[in-house]
Amino acid sequence: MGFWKRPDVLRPSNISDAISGPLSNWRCGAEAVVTAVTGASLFACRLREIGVVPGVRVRVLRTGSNLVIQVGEGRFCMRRRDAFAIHVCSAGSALPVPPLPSSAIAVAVS
Amino acid sequence: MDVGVQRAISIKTLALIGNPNTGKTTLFNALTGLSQQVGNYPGVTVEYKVGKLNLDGGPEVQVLDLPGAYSLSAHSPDEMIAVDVLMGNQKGAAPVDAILAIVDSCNLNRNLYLVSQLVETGLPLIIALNMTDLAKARRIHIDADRLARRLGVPVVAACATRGHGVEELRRTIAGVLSGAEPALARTRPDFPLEMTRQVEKLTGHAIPAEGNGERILSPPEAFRVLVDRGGYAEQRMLDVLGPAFSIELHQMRSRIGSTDPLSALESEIRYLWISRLLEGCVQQPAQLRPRRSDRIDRVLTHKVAGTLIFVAVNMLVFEAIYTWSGPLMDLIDAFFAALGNWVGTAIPAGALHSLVVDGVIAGVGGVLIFLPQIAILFLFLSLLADCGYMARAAFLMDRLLTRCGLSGKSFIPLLSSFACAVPGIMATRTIEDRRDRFATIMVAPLMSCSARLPVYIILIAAFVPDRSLLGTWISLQGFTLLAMYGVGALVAVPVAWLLKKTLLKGEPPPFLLELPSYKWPNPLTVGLKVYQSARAFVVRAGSIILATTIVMWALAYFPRPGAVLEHYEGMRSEAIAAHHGEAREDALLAIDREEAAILLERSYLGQAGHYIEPVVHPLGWDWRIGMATLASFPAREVIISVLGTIYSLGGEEDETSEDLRQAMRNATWEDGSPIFTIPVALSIMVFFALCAQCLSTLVVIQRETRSWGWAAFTFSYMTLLAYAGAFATYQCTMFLGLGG
Repeated sequence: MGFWKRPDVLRPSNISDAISGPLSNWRCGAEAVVTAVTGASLFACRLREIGVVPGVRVRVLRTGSNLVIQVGEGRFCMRRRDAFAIHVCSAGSALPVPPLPSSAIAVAVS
Repeated sequence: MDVGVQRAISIKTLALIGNPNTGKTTLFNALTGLSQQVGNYPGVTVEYKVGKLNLDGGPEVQVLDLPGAYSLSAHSPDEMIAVDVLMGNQKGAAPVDAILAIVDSCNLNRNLYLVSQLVETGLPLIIALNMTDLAKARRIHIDADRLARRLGVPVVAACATRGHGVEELRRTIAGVLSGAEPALARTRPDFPLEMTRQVEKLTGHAIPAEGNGERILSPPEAFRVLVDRGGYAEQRMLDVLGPAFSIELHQMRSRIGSTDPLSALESEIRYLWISRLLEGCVQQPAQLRPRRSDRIDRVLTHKVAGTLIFVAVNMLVFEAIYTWSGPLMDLIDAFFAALGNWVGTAIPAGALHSLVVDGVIAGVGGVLIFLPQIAILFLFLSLLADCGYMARAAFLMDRLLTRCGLSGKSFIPLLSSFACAVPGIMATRTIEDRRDRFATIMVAPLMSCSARLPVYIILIAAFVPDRSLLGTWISLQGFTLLAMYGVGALVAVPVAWLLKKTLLKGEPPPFLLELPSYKWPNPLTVGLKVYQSARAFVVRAGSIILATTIVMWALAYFPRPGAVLEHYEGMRSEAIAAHHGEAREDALLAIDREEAAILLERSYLGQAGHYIEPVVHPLGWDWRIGMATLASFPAREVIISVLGTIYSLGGEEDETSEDLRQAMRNATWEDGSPIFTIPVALSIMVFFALCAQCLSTLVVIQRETRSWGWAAFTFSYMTLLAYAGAFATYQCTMFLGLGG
């Protein structure tokens, strides 16, 4: 039992040095930038509504079978296997973040 | 009460809407105070709250509280309510004159998503920027005036918990409703031309309206039909228009030519609109900052520590229910005893005297004694919900609930069922997946609701020894109470698992839940919740329980065979002639008791009781318990009142005490051995823990599942389980030698 310690010390992640990948494998405590949310499922739809859209910063606050992630000032929990739908890259990495919006069609914005 | 009926020409309707955890309830209470009503829309079961808002000199306003939502997209009937109410398509709801959108200043981006959909309704809109104090503390600065100018609608900064800005909000509402203040949005998200065109095309569709006639699809509804693939709006259209519409809709969607799902396109465009809108209006740190409460969450959501705390919190609640309520209960008990004595002397002996004293006072009074417990239970439940702990508990319980095929979403409905299964079952509407929802509904009545509490309390108080466990930490009685609550919850696990493996086969659906920031519970919110629940309990005691008790009293009182009465009258005269002084008193008392016992046995209830005695005998029960249990099928608290009535009529109650506990201790079999022993008490409690003895619950199940089949299924499986559980409990405890 060491829940009072910093969780990233507690749980070294399997892909700790990744610069991009699904959020489910992301290191605890590290910030990431969303690159895509895949799928047309209800879950993906709900994720987008709460602001998990390309270009947004997120942080994993708890890993395990259920995750807690920070989106803006909000904290949301979800299952690890569902978080595979969220693709992220390191906040500090040089990988280009797709511009917002990344839709395939031209969008006229006033 | 029907909202439509209340509406006169001069009454304006204001719809209150916002994301979950934005302080919507607090603001609603601050605006309307105690003038609220809770009810249901016909056809659906979403609870709605209406409150009166008094504006000085302004029009009379009713405020309609809509369910908290992140978006207007609808995947269940519950979520469709918002669109239907706003667009005036909900039967029983008055047309909305203006919308009050409550927005969390700390999460402005996300909260404006819903606002971006609200501006499309074309209704006057007011924005309340709530939690401004918290935003200031987090160094988030919002230029409300600039935002208001850009949007074209009033934006009022407020802090509902402290009452800041509520006055200004009232003035703004008055201004907007009188038409003096402009409140129509100047800007709205710009969707691709082809998409707008398809929405317009859909808007032309006429669909059957409630009752007779047709109505035209409103633009926001048409938008939902187009974008929410597999959503509720689409489903509703398909139900009326048939498969031909399905093909048409598919063509319309493909004509838009988006490679992304339409819902992804929608969110991108809306968030783009939001970022443009907020440019220069908001200053906030770009980095994601940790919060002090993240540290608390590390403990509370920890697999081991969090679970231990969860168990400890539950134990504390049950201990409090058990120990704190004692003095209050004694007070109410003393009141009813005094009332019984006073009424007893005021009404002449006879059927009316018996009805009032034995039926109403001994019966309903016995149930009302448990008001303090109910109030304490609801106090704790609303405290935990209001401070934000419930979401953490749901996070922890998701692991467990996934094992039995459910999800963390089922946690709050199941937890509410510990208070009462009716709101618990209604709360399942937030579960999108049908199979999950049904499985949750089926097991919700297994959670020990507050109506079971009186049964547990009285039996525990009478038969479980008052000893302490673990030093002085917890009493054996408190532990037994917790165990009874555990029985239902434990049994629910295999039941849910079996249901999800057989009748409701399917994968557990995804789970996404916000962990709101912790806050001090709001006294008004908590107080109102406790008051409303206590009131519902008293009303229930005065209606269904009173009615059942009177029927049971009549069955236990009549017929009064003349031969028996004459026989005992004769014995009395003989006793008076043969004895003197104290001996005479004793002899008369003994005759009275014998007569009462014989009359009860010869009554309709007694006759019926002898038929069911063989059925309940294996459970250790006598016919009185059997009949009281049978009478409790409409509402389980009835057992208390019926036992009270039976023992009062049967003459087994102590002359000096009206206490049912004492009467139960005194009750004996024909051979003189006590009826109530620890095994019998436990077997009754287990039976009540598992049995579906609540008419309202079964009616709600029928309404929610739209089938009597599921209600009948719940009733039969629970009754069988209850019988088997009580049988096993009695036989095991007898075997262990607890029968004493």
